[in-house]
Amino acid sequence: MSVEDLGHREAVTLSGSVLEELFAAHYPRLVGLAGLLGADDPEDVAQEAFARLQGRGGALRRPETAPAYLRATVCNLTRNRRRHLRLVRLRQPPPPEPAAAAELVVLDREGHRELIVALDGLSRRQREALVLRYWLDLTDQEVAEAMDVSAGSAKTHIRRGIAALQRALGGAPE
Amino acid sequence: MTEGGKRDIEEALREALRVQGESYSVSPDAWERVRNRAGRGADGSRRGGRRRLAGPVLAASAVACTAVAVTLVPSHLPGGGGGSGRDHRAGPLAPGSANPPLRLPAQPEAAATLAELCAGATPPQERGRALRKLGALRDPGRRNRWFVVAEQASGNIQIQALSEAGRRMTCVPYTRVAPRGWNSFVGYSGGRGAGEASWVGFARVPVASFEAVYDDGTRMRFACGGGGQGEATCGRVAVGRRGAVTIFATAPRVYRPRREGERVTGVFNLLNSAGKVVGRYQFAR
Repeated sequence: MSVEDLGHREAVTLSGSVLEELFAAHYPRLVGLAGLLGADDPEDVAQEAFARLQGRGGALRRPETAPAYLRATVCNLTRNRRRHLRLVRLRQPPPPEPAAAAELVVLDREGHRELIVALDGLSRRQREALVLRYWLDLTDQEVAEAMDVSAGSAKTHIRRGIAALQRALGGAPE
Repeated sequence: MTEGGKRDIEEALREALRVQGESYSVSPDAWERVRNRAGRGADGSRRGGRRRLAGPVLAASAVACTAVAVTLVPSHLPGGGGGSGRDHRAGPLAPGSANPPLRLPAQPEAAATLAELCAGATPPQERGRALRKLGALRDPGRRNRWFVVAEQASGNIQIQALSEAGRRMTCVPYTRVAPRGWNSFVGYSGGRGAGEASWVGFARVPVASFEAVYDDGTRMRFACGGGGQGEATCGRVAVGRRGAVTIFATAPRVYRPRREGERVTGVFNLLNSAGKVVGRYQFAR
């Protein structure tokens, strides 16, 4: 019996179990996606994406579309959150003098940190494209769907993002 | 760009994203929280946006409750608290040992144990026992480093960092001195501008989770016994005349201000098991 064949009441019941399976399969990766895209509270973003998915019966009745919906939602929510933080920062007065001296400890930096910092310096679209491609191993088409752009644009963002990273790390001429 | 250079950067990026992406914490009650959110939408209440105001408090409370369940009942730990599975008890003082408070040796005895450790006079195989005796707390941000709350003769308290360096143990004061009479203290580690930040401290009241709120709105949450970036190690120990205190250390998190080199300011909240703020500390760099 396909999900489409079920009546409304049954569909809701099944939706819950489908959502739970999706959650088990995708939640950690989506938390990582939100974090890598720069969300300050990646879990909050991922949880909201699942909560919204449950509100969309249509997506759940076709479970195969749910991962794409979740990825796109995480991208959108992270984008909105970062925009909100930027606005808050613009509105806030200059920070006050420190209340008290604090300890300074130089922490070890792992080798990959440089790359992550360089990633942070890319344009929003390049960063999204690279994270979707290399963190979630998506195809050009899937990257494009998550970003809501054409496949050609996604490919361009990935290519330019890689080139920009290489420049930032001093590995290629301008 | 050459094909080889592109491949190199792709591989490096894949690895960096894997390491970074897997470092984000996942709450044990995440599924429950999703269901609660979805339920709030289904019962006809307004679901507009992400309810940033209500979310953090509820979330912190939920995480805290879980952390405390783990803390108070060691058998809830993976493997019955015996150390298998997730490494909740990796350090000399792990969350499972939080209740009742670990009674530290009397001041002269503790001082002697610490002095022996720091002088390298404790054989490596005895270190674990000595660290446990001191109520040392594992640093979630660095392997082979522990924090020890040391009470000075004056009654002041200072947190020291003990690191293994081969056969030797290096001991350095990690925080400023918390004067006698202070019921809690939080030390902030972090530089000006973008970089890693972490917090270490103690509190007389039991605490179960923490929240750093930067002045620009960035929030970071930590929970005792949490995992990944939200990890904090906590333990309840009895320190000399001070009595029982909870000592804690958070995992390092990366913070980026709007401009590199800009002054960093914010508030670090201590929350109890009910998610209530029981301490607020300004930090700045």
